[in-house]
Formats: sequence, structure tokens, C-alpha cells
Amino acid sequence: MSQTDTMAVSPRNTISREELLALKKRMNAKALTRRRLRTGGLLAGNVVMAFVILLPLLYAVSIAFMPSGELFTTELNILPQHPTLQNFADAFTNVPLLRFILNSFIMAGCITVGQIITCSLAAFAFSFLEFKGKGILFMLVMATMMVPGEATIISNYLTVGNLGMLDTYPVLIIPYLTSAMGIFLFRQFYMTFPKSLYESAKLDGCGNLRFIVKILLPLTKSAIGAMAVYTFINAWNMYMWPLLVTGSNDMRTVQIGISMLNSVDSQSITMMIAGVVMIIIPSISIFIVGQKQLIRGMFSGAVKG
Amino acid sequence: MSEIILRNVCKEFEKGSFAVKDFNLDIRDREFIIFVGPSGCGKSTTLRMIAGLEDISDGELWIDGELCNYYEPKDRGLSMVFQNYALYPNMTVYGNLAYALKIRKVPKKDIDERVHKVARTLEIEHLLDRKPAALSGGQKQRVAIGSAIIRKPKAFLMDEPLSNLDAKLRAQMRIELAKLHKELETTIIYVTHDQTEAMTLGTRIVVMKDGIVQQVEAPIELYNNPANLFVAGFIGSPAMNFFQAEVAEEAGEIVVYIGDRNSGRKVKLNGYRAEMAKLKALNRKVTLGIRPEDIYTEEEAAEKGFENATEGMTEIITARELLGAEVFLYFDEQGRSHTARMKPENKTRTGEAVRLYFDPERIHLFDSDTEENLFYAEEVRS
Repeated sequence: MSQTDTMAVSPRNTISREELLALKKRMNAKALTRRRLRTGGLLAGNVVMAFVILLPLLYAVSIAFMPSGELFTTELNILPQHPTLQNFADAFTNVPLLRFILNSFIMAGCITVGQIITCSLAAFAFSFLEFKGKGILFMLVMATMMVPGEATIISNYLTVGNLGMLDTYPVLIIPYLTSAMGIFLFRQFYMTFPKSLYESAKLDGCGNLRFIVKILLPLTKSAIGAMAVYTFINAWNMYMWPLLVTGSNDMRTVQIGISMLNSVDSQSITMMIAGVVMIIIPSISIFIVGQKQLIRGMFSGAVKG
Repeated sequence: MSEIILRNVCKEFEKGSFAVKDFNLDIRDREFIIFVGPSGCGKSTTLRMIAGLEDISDGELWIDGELCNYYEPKDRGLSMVFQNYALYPNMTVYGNLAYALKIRKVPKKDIDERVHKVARTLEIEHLLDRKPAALSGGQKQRVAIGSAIIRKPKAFLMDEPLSNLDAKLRAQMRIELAKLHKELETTIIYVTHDQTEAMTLGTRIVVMKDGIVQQVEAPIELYNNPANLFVAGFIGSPAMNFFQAEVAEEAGEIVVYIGDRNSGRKVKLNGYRAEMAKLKALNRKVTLGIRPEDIYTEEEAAEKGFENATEGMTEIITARELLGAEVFLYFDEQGRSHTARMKPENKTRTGEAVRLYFDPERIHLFDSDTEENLFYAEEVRS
């Protein structure tokens, strides 16, 4: 009895609030330091890795601002000593770069919009409608992904050539208006969509098209975003097909145009790189804007939620 | 007026395998029909066929005198409440309620009026500006019901609408559904696997198993006169107890031995029960069914005056559950666990032996082969 009495009385109120806080801080200190060290280490490691990976890109940006004399020296110039915009100006004057950029925008924009429309409609059919041969048809669509583009490029070229479509916008756009990848992406997304919503809409008197426009598309914004970023970058970077079917400066896309900077008689690496830096700006900025959507869209359906 | 008639309706998913077979039912105006059965019994499929979400493989579906087999879902004039609510996540509650009317090009003023009226009825008026994601389960369910009733359909189809709610909310919504049915004066077809919902809500219950209708009856009839072993076992909680038994004639009286003749435990049958047992199953093995509440202790049996008609069975209680208003005693017999529902004053403890008596007027006998209730037809006629 006496023992419990003393125990109850003695420790209470003998330690002040500040002392208690200090004590707790001391007790936490070791683990906290360890945690901070670990976070700091990880951060430093990531920064170093990111720098190594980005180095070529950063060096390219740096070269774009260098006078060509600075590049061809024996010492390694990482940063331009006398930064100049001359390279950019040269690139614009040597080839009609603005026109190329516009062409690329028109082509990539139309392909993106077209693919979103066709792929979402096809994916809707594959995931919501019931019809005979649905599985086989879907497999056929998927199988087209296994045919490399190069394998069909000659016959495609002959076809559009016979149709008299060479060197026009339609020839750049029409062959790419749909993609198996897009259909697959949308379908996977729609599969996670509760079917009862579609059935409920049907009972409400909502037709298929209205369901897609009013309900399905607003709810699959992230899939559309992912698809848009992915398609736009792919279309922007297309090289082989535009090279083959366009001939005039009016129709050339920017990827072809940039290679025109590399002519034998006026070779200037700094100017070429200035051009390259300019044309990767759209794809990088689109990726930065849309990366959240892209990643969310690509992995949606992978994990429930 | 809305009458729904199903004639030999079948659903064949693959050749030869029927999800629903020869479904016959006349649903009268303002009835609250419940489809009940274990999962996979075809109850939801039948409902979806009525809604038009599944094609009818064979048979006829009549709605208000019109053959509707090939009508589009929207033209059948029915509305449906889904288990997972099926609210449009991109629209507000108002938008959800108004959507069906908007599609049907109802004037804006009328829509507004009806939305507010329905919202008032369901007490969701304060939620009209919210999106479904910001609602609780119960509120979502109300909105779902609201968007079903706003169209003033010929009948409501409800596919397990309460099964996503917690027990308390479910009980509350059950009462509200019953109220709503009275207020709206329309036909409701309701699918559930919860027999409490079936018993409390339905004016008639359709019990299904493996795509075949087992019995269609008012809840109390179904409880007291199950047509067969399956219905008897499915309806009622805790379930009916079943024992292997044998019918025999002894000194001019018909008795049912629990177990076999040597067990010494028997129940004497009277009147038409004795007649039916004699006619259909004399000297044959049968299954005896008795509900937990029809099992009594010695004193209770004496009080009720049937302790001479039935020989008590001494059983060891394996578990005891006190629920407040009643107590369940569990005992093992013939390798199965059985339940007796007793008054809460019953003090029998686990491990104790107790003598139990069956009410001879409340036992059911089922044919061992066909599983049909031997007393069923007679009782319905009487």
C-alpha cells in the first residue's frame, strides 16, 4: 500500500512541460536523423541520375546558343561563352521552319482528334455492345499491332499514289485516323465502367451516341488525355511516312524539315541543333502538361480504384 | 393500370443450358412481387428480361396487354433501380433525376416541378446540387429510387437495391420502400436474396431455384405451406430443421419415427395429416421438417397438450444464443446441427441435456425422392 502511494505521488509534476518536450525530442532525435539522412541520400542520388540522363538534352540546348566557333575547339565547352540567338535565326532563314511546324501541328492535331473519335467509338462497341464475332473481331484489331508499319509502307504508298493524294494534308492524316493501340486503351478503360450505368441510360431512353457523348466521354477524360498526349507525340515524331508522301516545302512536316538543315554545302551543327531544340519544345511541353493524365490513363484498370 | 404477364419465359445462354425455364407468372396491378432465391437461380435474369436488358429466348412477355418481347427497353415504360445505384457520376442529383425526362423532351418547367416533388418525397431536396460522389450509400439509393419514380413508369424493377447498405439503413429503407409502394400505387418487381426483405415487403413471393419457379405465394402462406423441401429450407431464419424419418402404422395410428423405427422417438399424426401420410408414404422413408419455433420443452408441451402425441427427444445442447427476445438452442442430431427457438426465460446451458417436443400440427413431411411436401396440396385446398 505504501509503495503504491509513493509511486503515485513522486513522479507527478516534477517534470516541466518544456523538459518533457525536450526529452521527447531527444528520444526522437536518432530516428529522425536517420530518416533525414535516408531522404537526403535518395534525393541526391535521384538528382545525379536525372542530370546524367538529361545531360545530352541540356547539352543540346546549350549548343543551340553557342556560336559555331565555340563548339569546334579543343577544350570542352559545356556552356556557351558568348550566348547568341543567331543559330535560331539561321535555322528560320535556311528552311521555312514555321511552315513545317504549322504542317506538323495540323497533321498531329487532326490525327489526335480523329483517333480519339474513332477509337472511342470502336472501343464502345467492343466493351458495351453484344454482337456475334465480337471476340474474333477484337483479336483481329489487336493483331494489326503485330504488323510493323514498314511492312505495309510500300503498298500504302502505291495506293495513295494511285489515288493522286500525294503531297497533300489528307495523305498525311487519313492513314493514321485510327489505331489498334487507342482502341485497346479505351476498351480497357471502358471495361472498368459499371455496365449498369449503360443499362440504366438505356432504360432512361438514352441512345448509344447520346450515352457516349453525354456520359461516357465526360467520365473518361483521363483516358482521353492519355490518348491525346500519346497520339500527338507519336504523330509529331512521325518521319518515314511524311518523308515518303510529301515533296514540296508546303506540305513537309517539321521532322523532315529539320533534316533539310543538314545539307552538305552549308553544314552547321549549331544551327541544326537550334532547330532540333525548337521542334522538341511542343512534344516536351505537351508531355509535361499531360503527364499526370498519361500515367493515370495508361495504368487505369491495372489496379482497382 | 399495369399488368405484367410472363408465359413460359425461358432464357437459354448456351444451347441446352437454361438460366430460366418456363417461367409463368401473372403480376397484377399494384402488386409488390418479390423474386427470391439463392444466387444464380435466375431471378435477376428474369428481371432483366422484363426490363429488356436481356433477350427472351422463348416465351411471351405481356405488359398491359401488349406483347413486349421485342420492345426496346425505353419503350416498355418500366424503370429500374440497380444494386450499385447506377447514378451518372458527372451529373448532380438534380441532373440525375431530370435526365430521363430531359431525354423525353418534357418542358423544363415540368421537369423542375417533378424533380422537386420527388426530392421532397424522398427527403433529398437539400442534396440536389451535389454530385453522387458526395453522397452516402443511403442517399445514393434514394436518388436512384427518385430517378426511377420520376418517370411515373408502369412498374418498377428493383435488382437487390438494398444489398449495398448496412444492416440498420437497410431496415430503414425497407420500411420506406413499403411506404413508397403504398403512396405510388404502382407495381413493383423486386429481386433479393434476403428473405427478410422478401417476407416483409412482398404481397407475393416467387421462390426460384436453378431457373425454375418453385412456388408463388403470399409470404405467410409460403412460410406455413412450403411446396417442397427447398422452399421450406430457404424461407425462414433460422432455417427449418430436417430429420430423416419413417412413416409407420401402429395400433391403427399413423406415426412418424425420427430416424428409424428403433429410435423410439415418434410423432403421432392426426386428421388429414395422418391420412395424407398414410396415403403417400406409409412404411417409407421421408424427411421431417419442423421450424425452430415449433419445438417445445416438456412443460410447454404439457401446457399445449401434445406431450402424449409426441415422444420427446433428449438432446445435448451444443450452443446457446441469447438474442434478447428469444434464445436459440443448437443441438446435433443425425450428424447435422439443428435449432430450437425458445423463450428467453429458458435457462438451459451449453452441454446440458434437454427433452424437446415437436408440435405435431406444425410438422411437415417431404417425400424423399421428389422432395415435395406431402401436406401441401391438401392444405391449400382446405
